[in-house]
Amino acid sequence: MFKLFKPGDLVIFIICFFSIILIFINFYRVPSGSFISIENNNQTKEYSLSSKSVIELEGITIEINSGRVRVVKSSCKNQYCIMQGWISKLNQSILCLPNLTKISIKSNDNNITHDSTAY
Amino acid sequence: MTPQRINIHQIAKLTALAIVLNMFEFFLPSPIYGVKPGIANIIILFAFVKFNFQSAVYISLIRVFVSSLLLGTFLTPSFFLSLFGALISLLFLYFCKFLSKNLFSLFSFSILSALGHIIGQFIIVRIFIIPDNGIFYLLPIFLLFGFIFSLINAYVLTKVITSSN
Amino acid sequence: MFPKKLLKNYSSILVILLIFLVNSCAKSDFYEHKALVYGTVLEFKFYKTDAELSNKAIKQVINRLNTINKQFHPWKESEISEFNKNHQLKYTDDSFIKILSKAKYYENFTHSLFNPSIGKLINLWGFHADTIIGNIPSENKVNIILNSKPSLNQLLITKNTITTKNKELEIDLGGMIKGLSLDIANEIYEELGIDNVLTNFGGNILARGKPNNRYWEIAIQNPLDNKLLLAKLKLEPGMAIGTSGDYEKYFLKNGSRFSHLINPINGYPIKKYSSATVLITPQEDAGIKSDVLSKPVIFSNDLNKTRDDLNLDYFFVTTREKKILISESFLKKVEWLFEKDEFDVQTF
Repeated sequence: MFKLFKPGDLVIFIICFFSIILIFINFYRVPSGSFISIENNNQTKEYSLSSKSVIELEGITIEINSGRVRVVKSSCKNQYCIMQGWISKLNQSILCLPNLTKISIKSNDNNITHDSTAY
Repeated sequence: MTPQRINIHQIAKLTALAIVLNMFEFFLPSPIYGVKPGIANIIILFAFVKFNFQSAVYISLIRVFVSSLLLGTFLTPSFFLSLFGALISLLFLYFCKFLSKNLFSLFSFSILSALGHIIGQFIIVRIFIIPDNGIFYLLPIFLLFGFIFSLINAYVLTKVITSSN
Repeated sequence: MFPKKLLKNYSSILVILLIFLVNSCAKSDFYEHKALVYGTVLEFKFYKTDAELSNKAIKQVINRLNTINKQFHPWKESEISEFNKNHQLKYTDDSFIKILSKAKYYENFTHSLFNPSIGKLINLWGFHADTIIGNIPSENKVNIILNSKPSLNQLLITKNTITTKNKELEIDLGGMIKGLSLDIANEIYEELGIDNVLTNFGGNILARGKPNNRYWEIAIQNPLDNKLLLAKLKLEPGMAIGTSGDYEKYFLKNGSRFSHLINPINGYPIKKYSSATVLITPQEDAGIKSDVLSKPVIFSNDLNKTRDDLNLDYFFVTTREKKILISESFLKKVEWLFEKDEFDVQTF
């Protein structure tokens, strides 16, 4: 007869589970206070990574969702920016040269959080 | 459970079943492209514990070839993905042969072969399909899903075996 | 049978897993949207608002703002452009007159320091363009306009026409449109029953309601460097904040900066201050006031007098020499974000 678990199973289970968690932590640790900076036509705007939003700029539409950012729509010919998909790590960036746009994830040491910026 | 001898008919039957499950899985919608429960792996595990390692190899490889012919993916990247995944998975299963049956059960075998499958596929993807280290960001997600599904698979198989005894 | 049992066991587990996956797709409490309206960035941040309702509001706001721009855009094709050319206009919409009389009210309220009738002067300096090249006009030309004392009080409004005898009068509501837009957005939220939303139109912000356990928090951009932040503060429900600055629209000539903020008294761009920020307490026209009242502040000769004239508690001005002059009550509300001693902060 089969018993459901045997002692060795527990060892394998724990080892595998914790190594997966470790790999997760290693790859998905986003330093606190990082934010998204979007440069478009010589204007730079910053957005919180934790927000959920769709940003429509001239010729390009950017989506931010749960710590990641990507280009959803673009008027450029090659659509490389869309093909790059999501970015979520510090210092990763997406470029769209025809639209003069650079989206990058930067770190902010001051750790300032605010809902909007007055200018 | 003591291993039984296997004959060619049984291999054929189990292979057919594995292929059917493989096809079924192919049409299953998935939230993340490539994340699949790996139901066909149940048959391979079944052959491994009920019969022997050799029968698991037969079933696994025949399944890969026949399914790809049926789905029209023979010699396409997805065929090599599943072939290499199956091979590494079998390699892990081969090591399981040496684990004491008193200490380890289906659960260990299922976990190890599922993780082997994913690791094998990632090696192929990294070398031939997307030569960029960025894909390794997906690795933990796939491993986690594989891990969960392997537990479910093992649980299901255990229940099936105990109830059919 | 082996396959039958397998499927039976498997399907039940798959169903459970599916339910688990659907449930675990947690929703964020905030919904943000950004759009461009006539070259100005419009940002929304909704708190715990139905997504469909939020999108409905966004659509309505954008539609209304487009209509307003079609009526009031100072240099693109609009009813106001037509009026500025012919000095007479047949209007069709009563809301048009309502907005003009609001502008007139605030012109008188600010003793013409917010003057929506000096469109011709602003155009003379070359600011009526999408890309500003700039032009320093001759003193003579400036004086011709100033001597005609352009004012919205010179408008003759009948049942369906507006005319004026002053040929130097050209209407430019640029100093009010951003704030007006916020108030219009607020009306739309009211109609739709949206209670908690932060709206930012071109840097002017109106807070409606607040997130559950805190106030809306906003940062003020450093007027000398748009990559830095100057201060942070909490907006109570109904508060609005607005800034006028020489960094928004300007041109550089002979090493000098010429801002689009042209003093209606002397006809020349602001030099004394680089920016003025006003915080409006919850009241009617909070949006418009956050926009309009920053003008008398930035052109002010005596900040104490301005405070009393406008009945304004919370405001500050900055200079290019890194000085901040802030009202005492406002100082208590802000949290500075610049490095120590970077700015010299003084109260009045």
